Amino acid sequence: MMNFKSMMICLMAICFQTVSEAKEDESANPLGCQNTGYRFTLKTLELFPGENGPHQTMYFFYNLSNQSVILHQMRREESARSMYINHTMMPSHWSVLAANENVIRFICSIPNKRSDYGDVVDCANYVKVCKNTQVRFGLNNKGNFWIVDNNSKNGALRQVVYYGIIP
Amino acid sequence: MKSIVISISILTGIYTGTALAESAQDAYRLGHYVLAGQQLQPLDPVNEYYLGKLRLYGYGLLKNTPLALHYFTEAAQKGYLPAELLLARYSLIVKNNPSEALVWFKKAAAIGDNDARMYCAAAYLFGYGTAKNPDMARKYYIDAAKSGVPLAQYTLGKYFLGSRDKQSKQLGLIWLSKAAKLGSAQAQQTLEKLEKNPAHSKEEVVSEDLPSGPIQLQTIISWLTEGKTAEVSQSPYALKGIFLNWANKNTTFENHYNQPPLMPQVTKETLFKPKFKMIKPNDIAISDYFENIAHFNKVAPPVLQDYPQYPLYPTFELLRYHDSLVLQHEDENVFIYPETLLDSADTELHVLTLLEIVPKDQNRRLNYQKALLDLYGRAILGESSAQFELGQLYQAGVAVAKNPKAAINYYELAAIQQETRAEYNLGLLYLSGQTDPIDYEKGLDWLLDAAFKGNAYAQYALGSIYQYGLMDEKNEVLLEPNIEQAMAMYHLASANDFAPAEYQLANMLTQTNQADLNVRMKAHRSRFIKQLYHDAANKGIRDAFLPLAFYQAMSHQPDEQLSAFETAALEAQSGNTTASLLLGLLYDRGIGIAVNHTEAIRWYKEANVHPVSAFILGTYASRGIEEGGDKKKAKELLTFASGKKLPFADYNLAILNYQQQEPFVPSLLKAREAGSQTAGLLLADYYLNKATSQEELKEAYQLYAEFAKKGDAEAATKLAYLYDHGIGTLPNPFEAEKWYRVAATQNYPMGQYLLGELYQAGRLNGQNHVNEAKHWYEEAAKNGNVNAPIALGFIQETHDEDYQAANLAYQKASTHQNPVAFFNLGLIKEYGKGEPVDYQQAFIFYQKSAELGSDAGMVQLGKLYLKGLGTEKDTALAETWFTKAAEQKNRQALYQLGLMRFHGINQAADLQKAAAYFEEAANLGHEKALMHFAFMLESGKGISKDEARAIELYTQAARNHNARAAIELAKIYMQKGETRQAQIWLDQAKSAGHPEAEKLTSLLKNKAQF
Repeated sequence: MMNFKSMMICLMAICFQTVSEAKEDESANPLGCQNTGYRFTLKTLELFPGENGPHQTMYFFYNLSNQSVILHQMRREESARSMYINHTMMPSHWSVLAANENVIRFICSIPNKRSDYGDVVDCANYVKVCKNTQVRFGLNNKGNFWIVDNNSKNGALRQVVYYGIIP
Repeated sequence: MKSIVISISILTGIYTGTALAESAQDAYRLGHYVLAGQQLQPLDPVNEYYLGKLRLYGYGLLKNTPLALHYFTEAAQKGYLPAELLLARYSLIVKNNPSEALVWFKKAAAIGDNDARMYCAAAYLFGYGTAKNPDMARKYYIDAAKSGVPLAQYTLGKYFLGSRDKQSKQLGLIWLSKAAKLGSAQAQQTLEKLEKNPAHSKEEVVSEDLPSGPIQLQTIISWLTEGKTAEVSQSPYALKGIFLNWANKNTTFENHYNQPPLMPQVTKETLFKPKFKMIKPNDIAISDYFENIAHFNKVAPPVLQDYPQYPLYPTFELLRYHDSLVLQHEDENVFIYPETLLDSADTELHVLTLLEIVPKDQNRRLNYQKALLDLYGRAILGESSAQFELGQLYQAGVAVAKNPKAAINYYELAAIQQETRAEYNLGLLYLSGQTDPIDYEKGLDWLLDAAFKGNAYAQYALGSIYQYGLMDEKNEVLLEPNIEQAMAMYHLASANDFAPAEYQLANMLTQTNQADLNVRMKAHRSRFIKQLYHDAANKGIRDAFLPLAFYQAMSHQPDEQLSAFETAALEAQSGNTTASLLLGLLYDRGIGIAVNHTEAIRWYKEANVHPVSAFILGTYASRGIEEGGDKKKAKELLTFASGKKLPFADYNLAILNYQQQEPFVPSLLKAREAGSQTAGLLLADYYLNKATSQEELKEAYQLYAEFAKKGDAEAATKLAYLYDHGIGTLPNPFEAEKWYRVAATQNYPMGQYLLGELYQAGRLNGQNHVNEAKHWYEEAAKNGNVNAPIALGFIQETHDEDYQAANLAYQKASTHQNPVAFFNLGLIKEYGKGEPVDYQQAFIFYQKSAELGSDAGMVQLGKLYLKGLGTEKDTALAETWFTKAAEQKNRQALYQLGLMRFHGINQAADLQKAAAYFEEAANLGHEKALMHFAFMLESGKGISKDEARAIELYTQAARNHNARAAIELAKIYMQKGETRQAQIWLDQAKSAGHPEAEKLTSLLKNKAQF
């Protein structure tokens, strides 16, 4: 029969294993970041910041590929008076977007020497997304903007905190 | 060096095209007992156990119980659990020797068998076959308790409860609870009592004293089964099988064969037999037809003017409408003016007064001027939409003189403010070459910018440009087609709900090659296309109605099917041939309307210019379904369809050619190249069966691999079989398992059956996985595989020794008129396995089996006729059936015929013929036939005497533990005066317990003294 001591050793071993696995998997979602509030459809990426919670929220993006991925914001209105929040993601890096619109849509493309816009790709194959559902923003930090351009997971988390946002 | 060996192995496999020999253990597990008996070598405990079973049952080898027990003992001493458990039960029940039983149970317990642990616990607890020893007993039931045996947990709980220590009592309660949770009634009762009166816990336990005095086996069994039974035969300690469960005592005679149950055989020849059958038009998914139709209905690429245009500022649209000389106007005198005009009039009355006094043409001019001024005023104030709309007027020449340069100026002003409509129009202007200088690059850039900002028109236009490529006015290529980016742009425009893009994307998807897609991907793609057509049709794209109807026709929903029929009928009436074809398909299959072949043919003929119609009519003509159909007409129609690159037509043309013994491979190859999976698989089967060259086998292997990778279940099964049996490739059971699983998880019955067989044979890692095998056989049986219930019954009979379950399984298979199932059922009845002997029933089953062509069934039927069991004695009929079975080289039948000729049954004895039958049977491994033949050779009875050959044959049998052969050898050597040789064989016969051995030994001794 496994005694208490050996059971504890096993449990600890499992815990350490989990920790070390988590360390190794840079692409795993940061703590508190959940697979909700977005969908991949018809090659595009749609974010729903207002879904199930306050509008002002935060999305973590991870570039799954080994090349840059450009996110082009896709608007429905024909004439936009605000800036497009386009962004280039470095390979295997994390970026973080603060968002407060009902819907934000992106086209994804990869660089192509012949065109500045690049070739359109299916976002689902290139980008990993998660949403921080429980996040508090300072009053002066509202709106749509990239908090973190390109960083490691831990680096991105540090930058978010530095910005005064509590994930 | 290693690679050379591998190459040689591959080549050997490839050129012979045969599977590598199965291992002796595989042979045993799959019921190939004769082969197993010849190949199993002792020293390995598993082999010894299997040899023991063969000898015990007389399967494949002559029954020899002492030898079987010797093999079991050898295997058990090497720690083989099944042998230990068998010997433990044998000692306990047959030998009634509990001490010996305990020794074997202890060995089994040491390996971790829970039944054995509990028996040891009981033996020490009660003192059965050993002295009472509660400490030793506890050691065993603690181990069993930890492995989750409720009785052990209950016993341990009680022990702890009896302790004085409070903590131990707590532990006792924990174990009792565990046992209660696992269903121990005793534990539940004890817990109940304790709950009512916790103070009595100790007395409660102590009061249940164990019985004293001599202990019976029933007492032990009763304790071990928690009082459920005292009969060992009803308990998990029962000794099953031939020992006690077979009612027919004839089966227990030594030195004879019992007939083993049979396992179904899936041979290479049956699995890979090419099936030259035409594809039935109704077996082809309507979506597959539609995708071929889509290829024939390609439309011309659009020109720039076809791209969507933004409407003008509403006022100008209305004015333009009223200026039109073509359009009908409801009220010719209506006055149109911009809303801003109202602001300039003081009152409405003022406006009306103005209208009356101003002539009509002046009104018109005034209106245009006012509207233009209004727009201009807003444009110069920086309103981007007004700048765009002004640009539109200059571009179209409405209200102003046509001026592309001015249009560009206004568009550019708007574009600076991210007005994507202006960017789109700029893009089209530059691409139309109306600018000075002409700058196509700039045009593309504007379109791209608008598209990436989300403008649906730009995305759609770019989709079209990428799809068809772009040429200048001199037809020089500006942009090569880029299908991937075209689809991407259509996807984006569809994400913006732009209906023409949805329609166009669906069209493109139907036209892309789907040969590389697996089954799941195809289904997903089909759903996606249907959704796109559905959305486009709902948004008013009329051209999407008919394609949608094709997809609706595939739905199982009656309302969708009806909708498909209505669309097809409507469009067909207006002369659309594609709709006529669909209508034909719907009548043919009874979708949305009752089946009506006459109507179907009528509508197919309406669409006879269509290759799909030609294919269907051609196929029907070849099968005589269509009135007046004939092979010549069939060939004409199929050739026409084949010329239009319709792979189904190529395939059926190939089959027609095969049926008419004309060259068929070219058509088959053409169909396969066009992506027909059916053609590819038939080609692979054809190559594999022919297998005249390495290339053909390689080609077959590659074809199976290609289709298996796409998820085709049949191809995956066949590829797995090649790996499983090392045909055309090195044997690789793990690859075999992988591909069988691909098929099995798609509920492909043959894949499930063969996966079960792989597990049963234990080819994966030398160990058979009986439970996995049973699971897959059950699944295969559920999906209609007729062999699977027999294989399941075979395991239940030979491994579990559960004759009731086996009986049920065989009965299930017998409903499919399976000869093997009837044979196995006959054996159960004849041998009385787990039930009384019933020769009448056995006779009926054997007769069915024999009539369905089973040689084993024929032999058993013949034996019943010969002995008059279950039927009237009829030696003539017996001989008839033996003869039929002998034609299939059945060794038992040959032996029986030998005996009949030897003893002169039905006709005068013919020793020469008898010898021939015995020799043939002996060559197939029949040892009794061998002994007869050797005797005839030795005595020269009926044939020429040949002592040397007789000695050779006797030696062969004697080495296979045949004591009679050893005696015969001893006699020959004694006569020859070779006492030493004689003594050797006498010793063997003596150790085997042959009664003549003693007598001959003393005779030999006496001879030596003289």
